[in-house]
Amino acid sequence: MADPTSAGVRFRLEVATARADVAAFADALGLVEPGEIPDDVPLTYPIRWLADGAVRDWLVGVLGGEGLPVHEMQDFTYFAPLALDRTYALDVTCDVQEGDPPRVTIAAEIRDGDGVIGSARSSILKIRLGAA
Amino acid sequence: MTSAAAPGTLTVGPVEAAQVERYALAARDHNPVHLDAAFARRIGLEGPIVHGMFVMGQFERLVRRWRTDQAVENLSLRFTKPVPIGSTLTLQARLAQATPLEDGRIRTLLRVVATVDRAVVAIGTVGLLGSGFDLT
Repeated sequence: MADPTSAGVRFRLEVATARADVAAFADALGLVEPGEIPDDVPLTYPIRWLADGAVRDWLVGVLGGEGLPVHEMQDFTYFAPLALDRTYALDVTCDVQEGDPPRVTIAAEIRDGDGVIGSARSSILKIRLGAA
Repeated sequence: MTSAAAPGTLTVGPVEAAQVERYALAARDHNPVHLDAAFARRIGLEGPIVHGMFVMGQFERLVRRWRTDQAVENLSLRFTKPVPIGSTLTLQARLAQATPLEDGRIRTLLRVVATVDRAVVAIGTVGLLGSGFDLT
């Protein structure tokens, strides 16, 4: 597990768009009917990858304890669509900005064999319990 | 339940607990603030809240239903207020900017907003690329 106190923690993950997982995600959003396989990977699907072990462990280390993580902002940019049943490399950079409240940013680049095809950026605030 | 009241508008809900649980499972986001009523009340909320990313995903529904000829280049959203489970979301998008490109396509920026009972819960932009854009 990365040191949660360090700035600019980086991870490289191998992530996938397995058909069944994408279908469940699209169904949960109402993008398809139950049991239907979507033609496209939902634009917000990469958020699922941030629940992967290394990033999640880092987030728990930073945001755990006496505080409530509040999703403040989310951004996705695509240069090419994600395809079903593919694997991608995900380069993730995690940062903590001290302040009141402290803010965590997670920036991720999605790569295939040709280079960067998209990016995701998350901003999460750590609100003191009782102040939410 | 979903209804499209007008081009660029989508009503979603009420978003019930079962739908939030299904999203939590699919997105692997099991934060108790979305799933555990006792936890939510302990931290000062009236009850569990809908995932912000569920709200964001509804903008994809809106755009895909409205403009099937457009590719989404960018989706950016700021979450401004928690959405209690049981809320009905109203999503609206309006054309903010259209830029013709040399290859004949048009890059379009939409301003988008989600409200619950007229209170803004999320606001942002959607960037599109396609052959053209009108508001019909």
